[in-house]
Amino acid sequence: MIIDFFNYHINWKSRGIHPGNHKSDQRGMGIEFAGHSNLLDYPDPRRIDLRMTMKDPMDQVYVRIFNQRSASPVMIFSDLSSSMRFGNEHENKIRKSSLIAQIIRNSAYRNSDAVGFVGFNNDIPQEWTSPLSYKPYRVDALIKEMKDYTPENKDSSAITKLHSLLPKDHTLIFIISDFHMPNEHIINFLSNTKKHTVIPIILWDEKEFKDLPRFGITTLTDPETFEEKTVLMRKRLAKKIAKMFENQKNNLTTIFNRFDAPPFFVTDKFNPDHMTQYFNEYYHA
Amino acid sequence: MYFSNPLFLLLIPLALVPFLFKTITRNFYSWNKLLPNDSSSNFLSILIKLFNSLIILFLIIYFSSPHQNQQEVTKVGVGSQIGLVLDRSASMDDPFSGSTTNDDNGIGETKSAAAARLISNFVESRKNDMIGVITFSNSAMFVLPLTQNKEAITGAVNATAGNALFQTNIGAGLTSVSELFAKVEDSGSRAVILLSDGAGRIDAPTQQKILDWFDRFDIGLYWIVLRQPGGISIFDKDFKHVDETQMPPQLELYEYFKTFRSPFQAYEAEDPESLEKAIKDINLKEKKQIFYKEIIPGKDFSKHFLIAAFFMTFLLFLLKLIEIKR
Repeated sequence: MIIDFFNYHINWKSRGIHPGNHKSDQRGMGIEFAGHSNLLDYPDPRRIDLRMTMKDPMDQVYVRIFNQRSASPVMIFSDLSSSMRFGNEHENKIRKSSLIAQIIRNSAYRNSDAVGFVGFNNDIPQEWTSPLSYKPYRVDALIKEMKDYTPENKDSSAITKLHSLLPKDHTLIFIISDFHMPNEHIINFLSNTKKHTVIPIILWDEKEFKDLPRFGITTLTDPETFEEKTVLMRKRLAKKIAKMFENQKNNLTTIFNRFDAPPFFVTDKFNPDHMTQYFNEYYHA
Repeated sequence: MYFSNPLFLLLIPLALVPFLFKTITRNFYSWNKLLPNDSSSNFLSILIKLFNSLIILFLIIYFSSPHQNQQEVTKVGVGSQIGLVLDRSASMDDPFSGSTTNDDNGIGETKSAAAARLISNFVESRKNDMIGVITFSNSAMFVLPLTQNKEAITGAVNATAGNALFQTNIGAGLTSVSELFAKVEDSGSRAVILLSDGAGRIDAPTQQKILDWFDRFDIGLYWIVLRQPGGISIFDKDFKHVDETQMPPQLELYEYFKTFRSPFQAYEAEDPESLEKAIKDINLKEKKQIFYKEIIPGKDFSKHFLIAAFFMTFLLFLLKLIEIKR
C-alpha cells in the first residue's frame, strides 16, 4: 500500500512540549533564535554566545536561547451518520472518509503530531473515540473498522457536542462530513471551536447531482429520517437538483468562510496534493 | 346497493395503509432536502398512493360482492298456468302394448317414461308458462309449485319416470293440484293436465270439493287417459255396462268431469303417438295472452370493481416499467 500523505503546517506557535515539526514557543533544541540569557539562568554551556559575552562590560556569560519545534495536536472528526452511506457497497462516503482519515493520520504521524479520532452521528459513541496519541494505534483500528460500518437511521446531530472532546491547546481539526445537516448545527460547531483551526472536508459524491438518469420514476428514501419522495426524473429536474447542490455549496462556503475555515470540497477522488496546496494557500507559515 | 358479504366492508380502513405507512424502498438518497420541490413529482406520488389505496378499496368491495336488489317485472306473454297431475300408479310402469318404439333391450317404452318424455318436450316448447307438478298414487305427492323455471319443471317431470307406486287416487291428485293455484295470482289462463291410466273412483264429498275449487279458480281440465288396448273407451257411446250397481270407473269419472262448469276436454291415448297428438292439441289450445311476473336478478357490480382494480394495477405496472433501477 502506497502511503499517501500531504504536507501541512500551522500558522500559530504550538505550545506543545513534545518535539515536532511546528513552530513553538518552547525553549529547546531548535534553530529558531529566541534571545539571550545568562549562564546562571540557563545553564547550557554548549550554547555560550562568545560574541555577546565579550561585548558585555559586566562580564556576564551569555547563552543563546532557541525555540524548539513542537508537535501540535491533530484531531480527526468523521461523520458516521446514515447519509454517509450514500453510494454502493464497494464505494460509499464512509469508505472514502476512512481513506481520507488514513491519509490525515499518515500526514500527522509524519509530522510527529499527536492524532485523535472521533466518529459521531446522533451521539458520540465511546467505541468510536480515540484520544490524542503520538502512537495512534487505536486511531488506525477505528479507521479500519469504519470501512464496513453501516449506520442505520442516524443523523449527525452530535456535531454540536464535538468540542467537548477537544484539548485545551490550539488544535488542528479535520472534520470529514457531507454536511447534509441544518446550518444551525454547523454554525454551532464552528462557534464552539473558534480557538482551534477547523479544516472542513466536504465529501460529496458526483452521483448525487451529476449524470442523473434522463427519465423515469423512483422513490428516494432519506436515510436519516426515512422520509420518502417519489421523483419523476427528467431533464429539467436534473438541472434543478444540480442547482440545489450549487446553492448548498455556496451556502456552506459562506458559513465556513465566516468562521475563517475555508471549506475543502471532495466530489471525486481525494487528492493529497490538493490538500498540501490548500495549506500553502490558507495557512502559510 | 346491497352486499352479499358485508362483513368484508370492515376491512375498508385498510385502504388508508398506503397513506399511513412508508414503503421503505431501500433506495437511499443522501439528503432529501436537497431534492427540489417538484409539483409533477408530488402529483405523481399522490396519484400512486391513491391508486394503491383504491386498489385495496376495490378489492375489498369486490370481496363483499355488491349487487342490485332483484326486481319483479310484469310481462305480457303467451302461455298459461298449467298444473300437471301425473299418475304414478304401478300400472304406469307397464309398456304400451303394441309399442313400436323398442329400445335396445327389446322392451317397449313404459307409459310413465313416454309420458315424461313427451311432457318434457311439451314443457320445452312452451314459452312463458308457469307449470306446477303433482304426482299421485295412493295419495298426492307435491313435487313442484307453479314456477317458470324450466329446468326445475323438466327435472320434476323426468323424476316421475322412475319406479312407480301402488294405486290410483285421482281425487287426491286433483285436490292438491287445485291448491297450487290458490296462492298464485290469476294470469287469465289456467289449466290442469291430468294424465292417468285407467281411473279410480272419487267419493262424493271430494267430488264436490274438486268441482267447487276448479270452478272458483277457473281452471280448465284436460284429461289424458292412457287406455289399455281393448279396454273400455270413455268415448264409447254404445257401451252398456253389465253391472247394474256401478259404472266402470273411467266412465263414471268422465261423466263427473262433464259436469264441470269450467272447460273440460278428454283425450284417449293408446300409444306414444296418440299421446303426443293429445299433448299437441293441448299445446295449441292453451295459447292465451297472460300477464306474468318475472324476477330479474339484480346486477352484480363486483366484476366492475375487480376490473377497475386490475386496470389500476396495470397502470401501476406501466409506471413500474419506467422506474429507475440502480
